[in-house]
Formats: sequence, C-alpha cells, structure tokens
Amino acid sequence: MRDSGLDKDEPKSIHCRTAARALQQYLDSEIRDELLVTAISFHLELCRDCGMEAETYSRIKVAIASEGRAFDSETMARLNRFLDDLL
Amino acid sequence: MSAISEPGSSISDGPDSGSLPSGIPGESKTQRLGFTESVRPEIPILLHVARSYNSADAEDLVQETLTKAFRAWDKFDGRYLRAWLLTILRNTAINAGRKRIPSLTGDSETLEQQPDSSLAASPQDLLESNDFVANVKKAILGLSSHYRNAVELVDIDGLSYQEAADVMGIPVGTIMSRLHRGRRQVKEVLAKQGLIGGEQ
Repeated sequence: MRDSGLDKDEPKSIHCRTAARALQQYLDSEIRDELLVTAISFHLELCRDCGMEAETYSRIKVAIASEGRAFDSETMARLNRFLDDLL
Repeated sequence: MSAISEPGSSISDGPDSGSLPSGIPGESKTQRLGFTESVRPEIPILLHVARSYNSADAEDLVQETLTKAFRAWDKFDGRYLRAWLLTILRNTAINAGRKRIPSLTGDSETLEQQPDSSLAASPQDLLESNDFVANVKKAILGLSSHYRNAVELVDIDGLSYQEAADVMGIPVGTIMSRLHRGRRQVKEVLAKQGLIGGEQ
C-alpha cells in the first residue's frame, strides 16, 4: 500500500515504529512493496516485542475468522439451486 | 482508485427480483457453466454483505445480484470477480432503497455454525483455546458498528481493503483506520482479561 523508502542495500533494517505502523497491512497481505514486506518479516523474527505483537494479532484474526463464519444452510441451499436454475 | 469494473448500465435495467431467467439466447453452455462455477464460492460472502442492508430480504438481494450478474456475464472482463459481484449487490441495494443496518453479524440464533475447514486444519487454530475464541467474539460484539463492520468484512469475509471500502462506500484509508482501531480494542479487551500480554 505504501512506498517504504527503504535503502535497497539494507532492506532489512527498519525500526520498531516502522514495523508497528505497517503491521496490520502486513498481516492482511496488503503491502505491495516487497522490500518492506521482507524488512518487516526480518524485523519480526529479530525483535521479540514486535514478534509477539504480530503473533497476538494473528491469533485474533484466526479467532475472528474461525468463529465468525455462520451460514444458514437452508438459505445457502436455496441460493445454490437458484444459481443452478439460471442455466 | 477502484479496480472494479463497474457494471453500470449493464445492470441498471436488470430483471425484477422475482423473475427467473431461463438462459440468455446466444450464450454458450460453456460460458454459462463458467458463470456458476465462478460465482458459487462467492455466495456466502454475498449473503453476508446482503444482510448488512436488510437481513429480512437478504436472500432476495442475493438472487437479484446473481440474476444481474448472469445477464452481464458476457460483459465481465474476468478480473476482480468478487468486487464486481459486490458492486452489483451494492448498486442493487441502493437502487432498491435498502439502508444499511449497523452490524454485519447475522442472527446467531437461527444460524448453523460451519467453521472454515481451511482454518480448522491449521496448526495455529489448534492452539486457540475455547476461552480465547469466545472472548474474541465477545470483544467483537462490543465494538461500535463502524469498527465491527470493517473487521468482519476483512477478517471473516476475506475482503481486501479496497473491496471492503467499496462495499461500505467509504475510502480505503477509512477502512484501514476502522479495522486497525477495532482490532486494537479487541486486543485491549483480551489484555484486560489476561488472555494476552498488554501493550508493548
């Protein structure tokens, strides 16, 4: 989503503040700048606090997703039949 | 900024919600089969988003969306299918005067839980305690509707920031802000309950 402005010769050197600012986009795979993605990955491996922060948000994301999918099976069946009937 | 191919006039004269098309003359069977195969996986997300407009007629809204998408299928450029479908759904809802309701969360009493199998199989998911998941859910329900909608669209429906922004009709930056604040509030609730560590 953003231009990291990282030095191409040292793409893995970022501060905690930079990592924290981009963490949510990183976890959502929304960062297009590959240098920044690499830099954040590297930082999260080395920095215990940032790594734990990333792990916490990852757990929250997984918990939300696993708990939140709730479909009415009858409604889904009707909509699938409707889709088939379009043919 | 949007990468969505706006259906625009191709859907504006779409069929009434109750009418069932019996097929489009000139459309090849292969094209039509391609439509159903491509669109079927998107039905849960369409239904979920449709409920945010009006849970009572969400099914009708999805049917209208499917019908219009089917009729416009030959005009679809093949890119960003989900965003294209959600745009049709949103336009259909707006044209019908449907208004958004605060939460995307469905009526849990009438819903049958179907956990995502891809998540159920992950090692990370196996580490999640029932307490943790239950408390995350409670924390989500405690969020303001703006934050909750953003979190649900991205984390439950798997929409990109741009797709979620298009669904809600707000800028991407606003989605990001709401998403991040919503997650932070969930984290703070969990920290107070001692389920995770506090702020760095």
